Amino acid sequence: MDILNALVAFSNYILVPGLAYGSQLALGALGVTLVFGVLRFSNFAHGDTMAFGTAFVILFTWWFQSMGITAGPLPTALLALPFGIAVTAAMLLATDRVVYRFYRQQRAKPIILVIVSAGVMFVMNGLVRMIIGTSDKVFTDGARMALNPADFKEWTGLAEPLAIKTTAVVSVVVALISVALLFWFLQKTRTGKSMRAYSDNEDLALLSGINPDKVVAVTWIIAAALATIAGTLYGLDKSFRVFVYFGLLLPIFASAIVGGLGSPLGAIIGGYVIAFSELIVTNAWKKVAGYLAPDSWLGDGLYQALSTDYKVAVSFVILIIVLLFKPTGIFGAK
Amino acid sequence: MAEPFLIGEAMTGGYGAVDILHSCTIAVEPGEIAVIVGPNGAGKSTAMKAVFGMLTLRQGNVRLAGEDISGLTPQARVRKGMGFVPQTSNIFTTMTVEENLEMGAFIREDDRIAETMGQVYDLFPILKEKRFQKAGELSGGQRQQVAVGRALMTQPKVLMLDEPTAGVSPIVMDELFDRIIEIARTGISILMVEQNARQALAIAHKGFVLVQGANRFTDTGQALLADPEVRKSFLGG
Repeated sequence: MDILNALVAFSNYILVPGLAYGSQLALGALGVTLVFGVLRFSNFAHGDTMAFGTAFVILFTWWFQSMGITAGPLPTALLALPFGIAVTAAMLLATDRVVYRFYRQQRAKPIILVIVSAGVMFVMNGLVRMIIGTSDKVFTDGARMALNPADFKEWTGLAEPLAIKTTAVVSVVVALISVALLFWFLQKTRTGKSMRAYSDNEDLALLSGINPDKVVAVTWIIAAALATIAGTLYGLDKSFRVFVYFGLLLPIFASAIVGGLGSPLGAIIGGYVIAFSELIVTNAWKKVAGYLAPDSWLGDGLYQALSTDYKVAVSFVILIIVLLFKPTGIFGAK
Repeated sequence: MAEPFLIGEAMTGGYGAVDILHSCTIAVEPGEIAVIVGPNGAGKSTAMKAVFGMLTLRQGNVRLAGEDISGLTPQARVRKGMGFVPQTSNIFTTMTVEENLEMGAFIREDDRIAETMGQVYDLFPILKEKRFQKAGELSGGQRQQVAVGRALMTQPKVLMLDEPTAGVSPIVMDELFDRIIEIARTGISILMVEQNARQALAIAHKGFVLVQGANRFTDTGQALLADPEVRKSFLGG
């Protein structure tokens, strides 16, 4: 029975949170990788785009709640998502029109676009702070637990209760649906194929009559959708603060680079690699170990490799290792 | 004399301040193969790119079926019926063979794309076999077939090939030339730049020998092959 308890404890602290956090990172990294693949620059504004989208989802959620519209056991934010995506897409298209298009027409080097995106990042960050404020915003409603620990204890009689938050399930399911839709779009539709063609070989795509303006616009719309969904899921699961989203930029870029920038599948794998690495390194293993070994063997230590304050360091170290030994990432992109 | 189907006449121009082409003329008739040959740096590729609108002409013009198209972008010329196969990066390496062909037909709005794809597969049976494979995983010769197939998907009236046999083995080269002859027989004009002058002139109806961006010799392929001066200077005796 102790091994079972250890497994349940492992699920509680690593597996379930890792799947949820990994799904959120994967969606964020997909947006980064898509913009990199098509527009050929690392978009530093992506973290704040997530914050921008989430801010509007929260505003719509509050509005819906004030009118008494809810999604039952599911978070109301899911109903607000399409509206948040629409506002964010309009924002990104406007940004492209005002900022990025100019540099594209100049055929600016990618490094210049990266700096430009850093500027966009600061503007967006400021905007979000003005719109919704800097304090913590909790907008999660609906049922708190998808699997109640007390029920689980009753059914199985295990000492360790398994708890699964609704937001964790929502994260994984929404991410699965989004990824399935994205891959279907990229692989099967004419517009999706033209995006891949443009990303693969810009000159030949132009020769084939593919309209670059349309490809760019569609890319921004998809990036807006992915950023808003990723941000909302993260906000539901944890909470919403502008600065936290700014900080998400690092694990998201680490995910995209681990998988290979420009590779959608790589971004997803990378998201889970980073999420699980963070949790495994910063988790206190005392509880799991307690079920597997007698107390007298364990002593007083927490069996924690790094304090959770240092979880950002995990992304950094993985990033550096990947860049040193396999700079093209797992799926060997550009 | 009737005007040729496609003609770049007295073209002068280059990429920057310095002219590469000096009053250079290139022309091709329907169903015929025209080959541009010449020593390295003679402006062969540049002449072809000028015909396709990839560099601005200071003088001269390009006419397709009597219409002056000098002001059109390369994309617009594709819509007018010109197909172009660049020398390098001429396929979508991360996409399957079939997707490459689909992208070639991107500008078409009719519903007979599958038919054209069937014709391309008849011309290059190996592509049909590998149609679900990534184009980047194919051999050099097969990649060139994908590149030519992609250009054929627009159903061009003129097919322009920039060194289609660069870097492929002699056997594959013969095979490619056979296919090019087949394409010309369907009524498509072929304009190509070739490094392998002797073999290219052997299949050409018309040959243009360029030197320093200007026409040096222009004649039928056979006549050029027989010309002692051309042989001595450009074909190695």
